[in-house]
Amino acid sequence: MMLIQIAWRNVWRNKGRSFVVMMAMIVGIVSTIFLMAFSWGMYEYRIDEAIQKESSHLQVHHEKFKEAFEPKYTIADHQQLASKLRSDKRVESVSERVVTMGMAQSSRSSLGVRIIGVDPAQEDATTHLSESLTQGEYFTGTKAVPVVVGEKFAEKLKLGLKKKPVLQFQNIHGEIVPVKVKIVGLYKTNNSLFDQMNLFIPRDKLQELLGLGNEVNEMAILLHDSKDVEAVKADVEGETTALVETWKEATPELALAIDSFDKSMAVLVAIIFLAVAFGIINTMLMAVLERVREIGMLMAVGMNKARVFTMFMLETIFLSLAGAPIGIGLGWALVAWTNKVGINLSMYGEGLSQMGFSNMVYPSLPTEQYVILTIEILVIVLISSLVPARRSLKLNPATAIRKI
Amino acid sequence: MTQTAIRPVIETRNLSKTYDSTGVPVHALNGVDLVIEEGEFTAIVGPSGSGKTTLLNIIGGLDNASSGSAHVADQEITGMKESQLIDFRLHNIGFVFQAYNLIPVLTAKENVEFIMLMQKRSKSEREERSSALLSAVGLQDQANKRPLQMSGGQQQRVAVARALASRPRFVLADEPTANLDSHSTSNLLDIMARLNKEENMTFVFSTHDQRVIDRARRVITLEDGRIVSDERK
Repeated sequence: MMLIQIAWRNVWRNKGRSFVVMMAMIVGIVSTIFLMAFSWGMYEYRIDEAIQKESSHLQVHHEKFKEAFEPKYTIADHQQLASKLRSDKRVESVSERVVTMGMAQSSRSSLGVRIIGVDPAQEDATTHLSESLTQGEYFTGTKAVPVVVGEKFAEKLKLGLKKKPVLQFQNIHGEIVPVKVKIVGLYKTNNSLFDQMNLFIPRDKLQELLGLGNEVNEMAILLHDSKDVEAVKADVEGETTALVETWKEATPELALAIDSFDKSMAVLVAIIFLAVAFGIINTMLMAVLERVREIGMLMAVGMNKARVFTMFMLETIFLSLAGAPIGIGLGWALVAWTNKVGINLSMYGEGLSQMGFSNMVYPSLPTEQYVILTIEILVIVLISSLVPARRSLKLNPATAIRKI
Repeated sequence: MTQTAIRPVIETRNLSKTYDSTGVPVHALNGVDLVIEEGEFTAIVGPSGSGKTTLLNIIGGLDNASSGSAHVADQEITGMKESQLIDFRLHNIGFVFQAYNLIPVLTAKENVEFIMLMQKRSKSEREERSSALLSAVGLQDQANKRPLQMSGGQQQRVAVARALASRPRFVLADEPTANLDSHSTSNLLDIMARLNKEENMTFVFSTHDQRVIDRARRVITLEDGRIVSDERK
C-alpha cells in the first residue's frame, strides 16, 4: 500500500514534467482515436456505398464467368434460385443481370465499358439506381434501346441526354454485335470510375442481342443486415453449383484498398504510440537518474529488487494513465462532434471520387474499438514501465547512496 | 555476582578488499581484524582513501570482501547472496547517511514507518513505535512534515529514528554530521549518546568530524586499509 502511495506522490514531485507527459499522452490518444474514427467513418461510408450501389452484399456467377467475362457462362436454374432467395427474410432484393464487356463509341471517342442488362425494377430495388439519376429518366420514353450511363462516361465521350452512342460486343457465338442505344438517363455515384465504366440497358434487349434466351450470368443479392452475409452465402452455396462471393470477394480492389488503408492507419497509430511510449520511457529514465541516491538508500535499508521494480512500474503506470482517461474522453467527444457536423474534403474531391469516397467524412468509432484501444494503451504503458524499472535495478546501493 | 558476557556485534578477520575496475588493483582494505561489541559507541576515522567507507560497506552488507570474513549480528555475511544481504540489512542494521536520504514524498512519521512496513510489522506497532522514536529524537510535533519542510538537523534526526525503527542490532552512520551546523551536530550526538546509553544501542560512525570523535568512546583509525590505532576512552 505504501508503495502505491510513494509511486503516486512521486508522480507529482515534478509537476511540470508530469504535465508534459500527460499532455503527450492526451494528444497521442486523441490523435489515435480521431485517425481511427476518420478512417472508420470513411470506409464505413465507402463500404455502405459499394454495397448499396455497386456490388450488393453477395454476387452469384458461373464459376468460369470471371475468367474472361464471357456472357455464355450463365447461372443454372437462376429463376428457381432467385425465387428461393426472395422468400428468405434476410434478403432485401435480388437483381438478375446479364453482363458483358464491350466498347462504346461516340462520333468523337470510344471507351471500354461493362454493359449490364437489368430488369429496371429489380435493379432499382437492389442498387437504387434511379436515386442516383441526375438527368433524364429511368428506362422510359424511347422506342430505341435505352441506356442509363454515368456522368463520367458522358463526359469522357462528350455525350449527353438523347445522344446515341454505339455499343459493340461479342455474342455467345463469337460474333461482333453493334447496337445503337439512346441515353435516357445520367447517373452519378461517389465512384467516378464506376460511373465511367458501367452502362445499364434493359436485360431482355441484351439477352436478345447476346443470344442468351432467358439466361442470366450475374445475380446481385442485397441483404437487410450485413451481419448475415456469411450465413446467407453458405445457404446459397448449398442451393447452387455457381460461384457465390461476398462483396469483399467480388470487389477485391475495394477489399485491398481497405486493407491497405487499415495497414497505413495501423502504422500511423503505431508511430504515435511509439512516440508516446518513448516520451514516457525518457521521462521515467530521467526520474530514475535524478533519484539514484534515493534508490540506493531504499536498497541499502532493505527494500528488495521486486519492490523497487514495482515502485517504478507503478509510478510509470500512474503517470501514463493519469492522462489516458482524459485523452479517451476528449477523443470520444471530438469524434462525436465531427460525426455530427462532418468533415468537408471537397478540395480533394477529384482524387477521392476516383477511389469511390464521398467528399464528406463523418468520423465514427464503435465502442469495441475504444475498448481495444484502452487495452492497447495499457499494454504499451506496461511495456514502457519495464525499461525505467529495470534500469533502477542495475544500481549498486553502495555507490548509489553517495551519488551527488 | 555473575557477569553477563558481552557479545560481539561485528567481528572481522583478515578482511581485505581490492578494487580492480581500471586494471590497476587498488587495495582498499588490507587484512582488517576488528571486534565491535554490543553497546559500543565507536568512531572510525582516517584520511580520505583510508578504507573507512569500504569497511562500513562490507560490515553493512552493501559490498563483498575480496578475502577474510565478516561475522555480523551473529551471521557470516561474506559470501551471502544479494537477496540474503538485502534481508539481512533490513532486519539487522540501521543506516544513517551523510545526506539524510529520507524519502521526500513521505512525512517524517511515514519515513520512520516505512522500514517497519517492509518488515511486515502490524499497523498498531508501526504507529506506536514511530511516535515513540520521533519523541525520542525530539520531533513529535514534526511528524506530519515532509523532509523539505524541515531543517537539515531535523532531517538527520528523522533518519536516526528511521534507523532505529527496524530494531536493528547496530546503527551504521556514515559521516552523519558532515552537513550539519554545530548546534544540530551537538543535538544529534546527544540523542545518539542517549540512545546508546539508555537502550544499549551500538553505534558505529565513519567520520572526519572532531566533535563526533570527541564524543565517541572508542576511536579506530584507519590508514591505507589497515587499522593503525584503536583507542578506548
